[in-house]
Order: sequence, then structure tokens, then C-alpha cells
Amino acid sequence: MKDHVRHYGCLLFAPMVLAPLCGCLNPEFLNSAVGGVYYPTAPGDTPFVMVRVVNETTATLDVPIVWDDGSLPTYSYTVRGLTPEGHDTGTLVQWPVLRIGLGDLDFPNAPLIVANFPDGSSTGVIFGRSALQAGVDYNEGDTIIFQIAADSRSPAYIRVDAGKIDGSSQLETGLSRADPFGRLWSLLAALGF
Amino acid sequence: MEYHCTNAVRRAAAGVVLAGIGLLLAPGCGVINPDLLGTVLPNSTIGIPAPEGTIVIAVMNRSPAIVAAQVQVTKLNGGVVDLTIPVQPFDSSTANPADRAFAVQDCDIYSIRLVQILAGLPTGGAVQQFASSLPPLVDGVELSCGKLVTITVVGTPPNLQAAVEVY
Repeated sequence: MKDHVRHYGCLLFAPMVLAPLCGCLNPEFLNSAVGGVYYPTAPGDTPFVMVRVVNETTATLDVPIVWDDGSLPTYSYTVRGLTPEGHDTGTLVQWPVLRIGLGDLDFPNAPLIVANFPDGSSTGVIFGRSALQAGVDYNEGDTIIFQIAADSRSPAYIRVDAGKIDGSSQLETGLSRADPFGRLWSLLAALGF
Repeated sequence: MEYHCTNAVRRAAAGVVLAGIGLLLAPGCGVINPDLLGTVLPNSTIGIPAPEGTIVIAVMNRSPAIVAAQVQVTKLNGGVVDLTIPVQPFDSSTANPADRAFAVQDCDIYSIRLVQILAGLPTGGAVQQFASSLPPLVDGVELSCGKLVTITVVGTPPNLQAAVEVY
């Protein structure tokens, strides 16, 4: 009996080990599970910071992503009409970038994120925290994720959470596939941007 | 001898069946909630869904016009994200990032379509619309996870052109 368990256990274990190596597992699923083993989820060693906005509410959102590089002007990229089904989008910011936030870098309590609810009403949502700072909250090559979620304890019943994927966590393995950040950086250099 | 032979055949058959089951189930692993994984794996921030990967849409302006590219992204779940990506006129200084802009999307994309490009000179005048008849880029054909989609605007108003390429 023990022999049977050992033998058939090995037979079961082998496909589990071999499946990722031969590409049988859904690579996008694996990628989210192990953090960029196939496709990078952060710019890593390229001079960018990726900023993503995730809509976990029932509202359609207008979200101004703002950043600066220590000098004027402040840059912005406004995500308009991000529906719950659209779920997520974002932008890529070229390093150096000193501060990143939503709405207004200096006035985090300005309700500049607009939520349009299915019943036709709309409300302004505050970012509610100081702008994220380089060297403190993020570094070159990181991904920042702003998740906007329903929360009955927050003003306007919506709160903003911030998270980070560390750029240094991006694995360079033999399994790595397309890297859009590396390609973009090469292309910008080639085109003189 | 016959016993050993039967056993060997049985083991081989069991191996084939188990491997087949493994291969059949493996693509379905995407049904596991990635949000849940995002909460338990070290590379993701607690409670924040981990992205599956990234598709980058880059708008690069090599013209003297102010340009806004309107792009429609359709997700696999049918959701639509309408992007308006504005860029300033081309500046040969690499320190000024305003002449290029980038949008990023998770890999759950069915198609990306350049709806149109609006362009106007900084000094004012008519707004030009062009590049509205390009076919969408579709998942599994031109698109896949990790791709870079570039929209490059070249020329001088009113002779502006846009090139869409996938890398």
C-alpha cells in the first residue's frame, strides 16, 4: 500500500512540477501569483514608475493622477470614465518623479476624484493622504497601485488605498517573456525622445 | 512474468491518465481568484489585487502639433476603458517628458482600438481629426500579455499621420 502511495504520488507530483515549465499553466495566472516570473508587473530596472488605478466601487470614476519631478509644472494624467467593468488602467511615469498622488499633490483633502453612481448622483472623493514620496514610499522601477473601494466609514463612502509592487522583486528567469518596459525604453532612446 | 507485465501496463496507463488530467486542469487555473492570491503572496500589497502582467500603450508625438489620442480598450469581461492620452509638441530635449505619454493596462484585454487622433497647433486654429479608420488590435492576433503598442504621430499640420505598431 505504501508503495502504491509513493508510486502514484510521484506520478501526480510530476505533472504539477512540469506543467509550468512546459507552458501548460495559464501564464497570466502564474504571473500574478508569483509576481512577474513571465511578464513584469513593475518596470524593474527601467527608469519608470508605473501608476495603476483600480476601481472596486459601483461608480464610474474620473481620477486625476498627478506627479512632479521637483520643478514646475506638475504633470497630470486624468483617467476619465473608469467603469466597474473597466476595472483598472494607469500610466507610466518617467523617472525622476518626486511625488505622486491623486487629485492635488499639495491638497490631499480636495475632493478631486469624481465618482458617478449608477443612480445618476455624483460625489467628490478625497485622496486623503499625503502625496507619495520618492525614496520613502516608492523607488525607481516600482509599481504603485491605487485601489478605490467602497467603504461606509469614509467620506463619500469611498476610500483610496495605496499599495506597491517592488521593482526589485521582478525576477529575471529563463521563463521570462515579453518585457514592454525594456522595449519602450529602447524605443524612446532610438527615436530621440 | 505476466503479473509484472500487467502491472507495468497499468502503471503506464495511470501515468498517462494523471498527466492528461493535469494538463486539462492546468489552463483552468485562471479561475482561482487572483485577488485572494494577492493577499497571501509576498510580492503583492495586502488586499490589493496583483496584476497579471502589463500591456503598455505609448503615444509619441514627433510633430509640432498638440495631440490627443483617443483609444478604446475592451476587456475580456466586456468592460470598456476609453482613454484620452494628450501629448505636447515634439521637443528634442529628452528631459521634457511632455511629448510622449503612456497608458498601461492589465493583460485581461480583448482589443485595443485607436478611435481617432485630435491635433491642433499651439497657436490655435482648426482642430484636425485623423487616423479614425484603423482596425482594432485583437488578443491572440496582434496582442498578448507583455506587448508594447506604440502610436506615433508624424508630419506637419495639416499633413499629419499616425502609425500604430506592436512590439
